[in-house]
Amino acid sequence: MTDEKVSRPMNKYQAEAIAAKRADEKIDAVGPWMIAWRKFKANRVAMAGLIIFLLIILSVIFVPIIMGIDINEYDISQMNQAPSAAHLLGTDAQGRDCMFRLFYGGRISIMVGVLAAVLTVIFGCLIGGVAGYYGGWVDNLLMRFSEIVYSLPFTPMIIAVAATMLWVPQQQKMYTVAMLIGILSWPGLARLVRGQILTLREQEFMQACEALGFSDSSKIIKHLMPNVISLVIVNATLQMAGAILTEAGLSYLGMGIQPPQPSWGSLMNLGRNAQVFQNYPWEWVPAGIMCLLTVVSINLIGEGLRDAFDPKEIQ
Amino acid sequence: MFKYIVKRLLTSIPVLLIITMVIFGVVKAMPGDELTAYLGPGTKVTQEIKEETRAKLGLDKSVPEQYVRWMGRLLSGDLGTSFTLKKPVGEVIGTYVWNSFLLNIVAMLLGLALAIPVGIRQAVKKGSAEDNFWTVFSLLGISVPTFFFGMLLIYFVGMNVSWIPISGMRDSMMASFGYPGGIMQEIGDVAVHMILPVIVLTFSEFATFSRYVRNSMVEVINQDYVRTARAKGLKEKTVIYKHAFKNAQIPLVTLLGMYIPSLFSGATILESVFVWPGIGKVLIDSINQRDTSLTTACLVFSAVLMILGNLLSDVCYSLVDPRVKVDG
Repeated sequence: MTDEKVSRPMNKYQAEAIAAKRADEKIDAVGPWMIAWRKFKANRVAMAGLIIFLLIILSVIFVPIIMGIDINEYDISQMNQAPSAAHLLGTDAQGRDCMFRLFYGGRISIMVGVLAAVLTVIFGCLIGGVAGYYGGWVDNLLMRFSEIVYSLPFTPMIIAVAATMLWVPQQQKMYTVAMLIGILSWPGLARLVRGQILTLREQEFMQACEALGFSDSSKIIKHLMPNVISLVIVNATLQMAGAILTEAGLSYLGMGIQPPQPSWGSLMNLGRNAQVFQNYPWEWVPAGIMCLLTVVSINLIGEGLRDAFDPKEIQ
Repeated sequence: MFKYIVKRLLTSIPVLLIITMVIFGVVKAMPGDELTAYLGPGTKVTQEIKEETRAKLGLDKSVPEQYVRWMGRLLSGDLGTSFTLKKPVGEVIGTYVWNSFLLNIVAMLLGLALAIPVGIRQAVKKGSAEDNFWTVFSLLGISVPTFFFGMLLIYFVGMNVSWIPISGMRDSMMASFGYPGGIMQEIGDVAVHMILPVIVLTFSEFATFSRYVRNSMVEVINQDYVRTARAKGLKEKTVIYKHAFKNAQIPLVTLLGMYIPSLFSGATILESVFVWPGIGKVLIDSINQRDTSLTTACLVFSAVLMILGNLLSDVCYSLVDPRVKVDG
């Protein structure tokens, strides 16, 4: 077939038309990603969110490196010092530098957020995708299952399950917390993905896939998923913000990341001690502010993305 | 409609049954020995008494057997006894639920009362500086960890303004010896104690609601029927409140349906910050003290509320929007 096409001489008009079409394509060759990015860039609030978030990421990576002290470095003679030139954010009850712990803790808090969001996306897409694609009893079974998880009261349940995980060693704690959040948060996304797949499944391009004899996995991953990806990205962003808040709450109660391991939540946990709360606010206030800033910036990004991907919004 | 509700309730039963199993399993998996917690740490008792209590509590049986026993008692209305509070669990929940409810209903009503006019104004003046201000403000509301905001309030307001109490629900002296000024004084006392937690909750509730109101108003405000209403020469106020807002209520009412049951369980972590004697605080305390029957009951209670919330939001949805038909 291709041979035929090439060998057949083109007439002048055809050639011109093709050239014109190519030129048009060059100008307008913007895919959905480019359109979304342009819209996102034009959205000042969302860009502000992105910049704040990038600054936070850079600071949690580099501030601890630049300060170059050991995580467990303590100095009893310097305990509960107010902020000064030597310790910009003061020191805690063991004489550890609060600024170091704030940014180091940020790494853990953000990691929990990222991991939890990734897990939610994996579970949500897998379960929602399979349910929507296969339908029938598989759909029924998976949706029943997701209804059960969806009906578990989120905060009380996560506190209760976290309480059973107290034996997990400090270093692995962040993974268990992220895991817990992921396991309890996927049903919302699964429902969205399933609904989307159900409508997509009936469209012509899926019939074409059928006719071409593609395998199920290729149909789901290559042809259906790209159509739900924008939905998933927006959801993952908001999920990440939520996970950071959940971790903070859990660690604040002493059931998530626990001291000596710092995280924003576990630093705020110090404020549960009346003495620290009243007299050494620099030990817990900055953690809350950082947490707030991070969550706000992620939410701004998420909303910017939602608008950017929304075809109804005019460019 | 009635048929639909009955059907939904019936299909919830297996879901709830599995959830109780999950909850029971989770509670049993918590570290620490229930028997020691029951007897009180450090109590010295003979081995015989230990065994006797163990048998009495049913702890000598396997977990599935314990579950069946617990379920049987639950169905006959017995939720067990809380050994930390020395009261039947049903009674404990019955009292504390209303404390949670009081806090949440006040915050929800305040939040709604503020959010509806603000959300509508935002939608009407979409893109204006005022709209942007409230957008950022409500974004802060959903992004701030409630307990942190609570701590800040305690730090800045509670410590400096002496007449605003920072924790609890009643003045401890008057709560134990009675209020000399009678019921009015009691109401006043509780109201003063509510100020700080209500501010925190109202803020987050306002944030959630105003975003809903704004977004759904933005959707309807450009619809043809709104233009028709204007063309008829109706007052702008009538157009916005009667024609546009009525249609914008649909997502809001769905959200409210979901909210109503959660008023009874409400703010888990925040209650601990303000030492507010509600269900959330009872749950966390019971987990910390390993008061298993209380923990299980609190969790099951929240799960039931959650299921009811989902059902109610669907029902509200079809009630408000006549286009939605539920199949019975």
